[in-house]
Amino acid sequence: MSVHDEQNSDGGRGDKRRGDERRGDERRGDEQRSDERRGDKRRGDERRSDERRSDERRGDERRGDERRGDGKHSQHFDEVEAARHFPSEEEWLDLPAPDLGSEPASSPESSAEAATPEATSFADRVMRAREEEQALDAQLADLHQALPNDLLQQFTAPTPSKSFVEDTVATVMNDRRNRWQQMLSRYVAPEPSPVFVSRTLTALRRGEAQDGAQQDDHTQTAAAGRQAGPNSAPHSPRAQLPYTPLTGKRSNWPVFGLIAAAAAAILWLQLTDAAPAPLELRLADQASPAVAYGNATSPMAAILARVAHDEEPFSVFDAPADGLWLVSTTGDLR
Amino acid sequence: MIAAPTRYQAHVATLRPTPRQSLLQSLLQCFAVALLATTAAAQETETTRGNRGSGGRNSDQNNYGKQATAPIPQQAIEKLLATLDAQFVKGDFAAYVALFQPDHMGSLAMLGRHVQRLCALTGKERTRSSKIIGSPMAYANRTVVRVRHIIEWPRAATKKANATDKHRLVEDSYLAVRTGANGSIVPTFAIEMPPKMNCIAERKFRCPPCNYEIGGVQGFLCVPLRREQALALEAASFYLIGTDVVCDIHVLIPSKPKNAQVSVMTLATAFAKVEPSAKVGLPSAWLPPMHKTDPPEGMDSARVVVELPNDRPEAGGTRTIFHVVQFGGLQHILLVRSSAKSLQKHKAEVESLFKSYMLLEVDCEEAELAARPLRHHTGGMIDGAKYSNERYGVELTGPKKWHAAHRPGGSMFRVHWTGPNGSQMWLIGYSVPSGMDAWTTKTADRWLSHHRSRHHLEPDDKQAASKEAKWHEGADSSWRRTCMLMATEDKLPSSPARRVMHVQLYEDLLLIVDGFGATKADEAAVRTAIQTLKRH
Repeated sequence: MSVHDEQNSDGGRGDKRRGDERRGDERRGDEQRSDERRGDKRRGDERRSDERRSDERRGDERRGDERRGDGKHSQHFDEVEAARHFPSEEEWLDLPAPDLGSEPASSPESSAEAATPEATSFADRVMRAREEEQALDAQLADLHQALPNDLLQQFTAPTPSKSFVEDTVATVMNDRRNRWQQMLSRYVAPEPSPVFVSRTLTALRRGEAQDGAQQDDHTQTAAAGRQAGPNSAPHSPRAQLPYTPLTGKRSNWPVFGLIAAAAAAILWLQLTDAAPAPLELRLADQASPAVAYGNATSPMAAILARVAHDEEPFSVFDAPADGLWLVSTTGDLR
Repeated sequence: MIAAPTRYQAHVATLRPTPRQSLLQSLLQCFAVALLATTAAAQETETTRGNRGSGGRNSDQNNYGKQATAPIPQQAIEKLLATLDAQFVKGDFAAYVALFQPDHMGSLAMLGRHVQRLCALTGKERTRSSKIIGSPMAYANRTVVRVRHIIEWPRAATKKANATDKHRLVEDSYLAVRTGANGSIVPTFAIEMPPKMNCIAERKFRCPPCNYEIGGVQGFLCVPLRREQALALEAASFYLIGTDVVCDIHVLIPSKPKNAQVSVMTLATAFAKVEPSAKVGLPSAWLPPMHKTDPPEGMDSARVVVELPNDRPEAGGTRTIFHVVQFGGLQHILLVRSSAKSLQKHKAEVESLFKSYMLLEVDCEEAELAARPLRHHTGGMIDGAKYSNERYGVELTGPKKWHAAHRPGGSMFRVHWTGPNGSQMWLIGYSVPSGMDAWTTKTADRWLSHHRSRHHLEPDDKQAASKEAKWHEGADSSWRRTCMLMATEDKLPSSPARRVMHVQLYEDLLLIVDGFGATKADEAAVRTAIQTLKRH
C-alpha cells in the first residue's frame, strides 16, 4: 500500500469516525428534541385541561347567571386569551373529538327547540329565510323613503332633444364612416420618403448614363455603318431606321383627332343627359296608351292595375279605355 | 451628305417609340381624358341641376306656412291663361310647360304629357279657349282657380275646317299661380279636375255610401279623380299647395277578405314590381287618429313605408306611405307621397289631414256596408248567379252554381263569375270615355283589336265567317257580335286555349261578356249565359 493509499485509508477511517460521531450527535439531538417535544406536549395537555376546567367553570357561572336572569353575563371577549389558548397545529390533531350527543343545552328555549322534531325542518328554514328577506325588503323600502327626492332626481335621464334622433344617426354614420376610412387606409400606399426618391433618381440617372454610354457605342457603330454605305451590314435593329429631320419629329395628328372626338362625345352627353323622369311619368310610360289610367296623376292606379292583373291573370278587359286614344287617327298616341 | 447626328439626337432617336406604340399611347391618353371629363360632367349635371331646380322651389317653399296673402286678381290670371292658350294653339308643348315653375314635378310632367297628346291628336287647326270658373282661392302665397278649357279641332284633319264639323273637348283643371320676383304671374301647378264634379277645394270630402270623410284642412286642395283613371270605386287627391306633398285616397272592394297588413304588403309589393327601385319596409299596425282611443269593432288597419332613394336624391329620396283601413267589407287606401325632406317639413300638416279622416258609421252590418257603395257608384247588385244593374237597365244570369263577385276597377261595372274546373266569365260595362261623344263600332273594334293583339288572341277561322261574328243589329237597336278567339301564345300553362267574346254596343254603353270554359259543358254554359244578357 502506498503512502497515498495509507493517507487515504487513514483519512477514510477518520472520515468514517467523524461521520459516526456526527450521526450520533444528530441522533442525540433528535432524542433531546423529541423529549422536549413530549415534555412540551405534556405541559400543554396539562395546561389545556386546566383551561378547559376553568372555561367550563366560567361557562357554568355564565349559564347560571343567565338562568338566574340577572342579565349580568359577561360579554367580555379576551382576544389575547383566546389566541393564547388556541391549539397549535400539532395539538389540533390530539384534541379529543367533540361529543355531539351529550352537550348540555345552552338555554331553555334552545332546549325546547331541540326537543321538537321540526326544529330543523325544511318548512321552518324556508319560513325563516322568507322572514329575513321580508325584513331586508322593509329595511330597503325605509331606506328608499329616507332618500331625498331631489337626490334621486339627479339620476333621472334627461328628456331627449328634438334633434336627438337625427344627431344620433349622424353620429353613428360619422363613426361608421371614420371606421371604414381607418380600415381602408391600410390599403393606401404611403408617401415615398425623400431618401427613397433620391435613391431612385440616382439609380435612374446612373442607368441612363450607362445606357447612354452603350448607345454612344451603338450609334458610333451605326454612323460608321451608314458612312460605310448602304451595302454594309447593319449593326443593330435601330440603326436600320433611316434618320431624317422630318421623321425625327413626332406626328401629333392622331392625338388632336381623338381629342376632338372626345370633346364631341362630352358635348353630346351633356346635351342629352337628363334627370330621371318623375315617378308618375315613369309609371305612365309603362302603361299602354290605350288605357285611361296611363294618364293618372297618382301612382295608385298603376299599382291597382298590377294587383288586379295578379289576381285575375286570365282577364282580358281589366282597365277602362282612353277616349283620346280611341278617337285618334294615328297608330300610337302617347 | 447627311450630317452625323449629335449625341442628344442619337439618344432621342433610341428613345423614340415605333409609330404603332405612339398611336396606342395617344389613344389611351385621350380615352382617359374623355372618361374623366364625362364623369365630371355627369356628376355636375346630376347634382347641380337638382340644386338649381330645387333651389328656386326651396326659396319659394320657405314662404309656406306664412299667412295667406290676398288672391291675385282674376284679370292677371286671365292674361296668363291667354298666353298658355296661345302656346297650345301653336303646338309648342315644351314652351307651354316651360312657363311653369313647378311645386310638384310629377304633376307638371303629367300635364306636359297630356298637352303633348292633345297637340298630336288635334292637329294644326286646333283652337283652345280658357275661362275661370268661380272665384280665385288663396292658399299661402298661391292663388288657385278652376279653369275650363274648350278645345276644338276638325273631325278630319283637312285644310278647310268646317265650323259645324268639329271635335269638341271640354276639360277642367285647377291652376295655381304666384307672383314672380319681377311682379309677373307665374303658374306653379295645374291638375285635371272632372268637369261634372263640384268644386270641393278646402271643404270636407264626404261619401256616406263609402262610409268616410276626409279633408277640410287648410292648405290642402281636394281634387277628385275620374274613376277610369283611378281604378277604384272612388278616389281623390289632396295636394298641399305650394309643396310636393300629396295624399291620395282610394275606395275599393277587396276581392277576398284579407288582414290589413297582408293587404298593405300586397300593394307595396305590386308597387315594387312596377317600380324596381322601390325599397319596401315592414308593415306595422296603425290606427286612424280619430279612432285611436276607441277603435270600432271589426276595423283593421295597417301601414307600410316604401322608399325610392334614387328619386330626387337631393331631397332625401321619395317616400310613399301606404295606409289601409278595412271595415265592413270596404277598403280605404290612403297614400302619402312626397320627398323625404318635404314630408319631414310638413309633417304637422299631413297629421292634420289624417286627423280629419274618419269612418261615418261604425255599427252597420258588414254586408250592408259593402253593398251600399256598389249600389251608389255602379248601380248593380248580385243575387245568386244573377246580376242586375238598375242604373243602366242591364241583366245577365250567369251559369248555374258559378260564384259571382263585383270587381269594378275603373269600369262602370264589372262582374266576375268563377265556375268549377277553373272556368271564368266576366261582364264589363264601359260608359263613354272622356274625349268621345258616343261609342261606335269603329271605336269598339279598335278597343277589341287592341286587346286581341295584347293577349295574342286570333279569331277562329270557321266561326269568323259566320253571321254572329260580324256586327249585326239586335232587336233593341244595339249592335252586337260574338267571336270565338283562339290563343296563339300561352302565357301560363293553364291559360285557356279558346274563349267566347260577346260585344253589345249602345251609344252610351259598351257591354262585353268574355269567358272561357275548361270543359265543353262550361263553354256551353257561358254561351247560354250570353243569351240572357239584356238591357231594358
